[in-house]
Amino acid sequence: MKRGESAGLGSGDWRAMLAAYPVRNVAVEVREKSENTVTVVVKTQKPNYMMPPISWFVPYNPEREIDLDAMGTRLWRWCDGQRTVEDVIDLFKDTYDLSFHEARAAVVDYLRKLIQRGILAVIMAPERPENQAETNAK
Amino acid sequence: MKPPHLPRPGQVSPAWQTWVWQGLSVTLPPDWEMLQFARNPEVGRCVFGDRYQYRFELNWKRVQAPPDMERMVGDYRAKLSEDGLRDVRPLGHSPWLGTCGQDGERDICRYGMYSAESRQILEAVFLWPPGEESKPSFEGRVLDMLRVLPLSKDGRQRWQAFGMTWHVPATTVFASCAVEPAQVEAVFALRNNRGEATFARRGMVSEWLTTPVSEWLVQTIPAGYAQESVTHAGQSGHDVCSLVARRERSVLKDWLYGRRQYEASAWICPGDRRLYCVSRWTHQQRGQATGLDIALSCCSGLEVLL
Repeated sequence: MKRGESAGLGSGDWRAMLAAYPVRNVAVEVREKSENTVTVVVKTQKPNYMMPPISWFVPYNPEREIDLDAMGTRLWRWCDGQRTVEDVIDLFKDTYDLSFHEARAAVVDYLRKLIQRGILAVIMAPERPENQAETNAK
Repeated sequence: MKPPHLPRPGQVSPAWQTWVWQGLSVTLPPDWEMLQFARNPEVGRCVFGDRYQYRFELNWKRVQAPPDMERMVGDYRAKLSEDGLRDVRPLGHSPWLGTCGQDGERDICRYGMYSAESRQILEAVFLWPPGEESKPSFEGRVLDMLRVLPLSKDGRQRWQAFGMTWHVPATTVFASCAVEPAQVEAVFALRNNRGEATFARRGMVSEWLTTPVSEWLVQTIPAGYAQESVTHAGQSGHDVCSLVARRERSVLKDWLYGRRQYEASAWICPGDRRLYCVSRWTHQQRGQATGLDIALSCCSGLEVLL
């Protein structure tokens, strides 16, 4: 994600995004490729059009393998459902000596790719109880 | 306007960070980073944010004649009220004229002034977090340190952003600036298109730099240039590698203005373990200055001149 004329930060307040929890898709299978890298195998849904005669000619693979490099594997392991996006960014920042927004741009971009590939999901943080009470009072 | 100067050590908390962009110097808390910027010196803005939201905007606009600032701010205040900003009230921090209001749960305070030196209208906008009241003392501190920087005696302009401090002739054009995670590159070009300077800073060096810096630097030589020399120099704990290369085959422009020469220096700063690189290409005629004297600094211990 580039910074520049627009930082892609929308409304100018990204608290909700930082407070979200990235969680792994429990249906994926993780294969250790080496000490620092893994392959994540995700099951794919058979498309409706995949029936004879199309399926006679077009191969269908019920699994998709996604190889993560060392940095991606590290990020994947940090997304354990206990850490928020902000926690993951802080870990990345400290590990690679980056500024917060450098790490944010890199981590958010990578998490987005993992979500698009179906191996990660994001759970929005519940509203804080005191805020909830205020909302109810209104 | 007060005489321009940069804050001296001890004048502000050393943790605060100074940014110099388009001749404007602003000193802000250390966790505020520049998230948006403009390359246009006539009109533009820079936006800074902390880790949660945008916190500060600096807008500039060059004008032909001094405006009536009081009237302008008054009109602006009326417009903000019309636009739905609540609790709009005037603010002042001489020579700045300001106005503050509430947008939802947020306080937004805007200050404006005219700089006679640079013939610019400057606007500083403070965006406070939801539920937090604006702090005039904090705003005053930032405004007191906001300066229009003069050019140096040799006509160069100072820039300070993204961990680098660099100087370029004020006559150059700010051609491009790419800011990506762990990678910043700013390019300035001579107006006559006879030279270009690049300032770069790259992080996560251990992840991608597999060769010595000198070898990496040689790989940056543009196609069509032949390496002439590579030298090393130790300066304040930095091992600075420099190279010179010349265009192999002259084209018509080289016959007119001198053969193109590429010069570059690169080093890893032991302070932040990032790789810095300054380079330029120019038409080099014997006995004539290139008109593109530049400098890059990574920390107070080192300034590399080309």
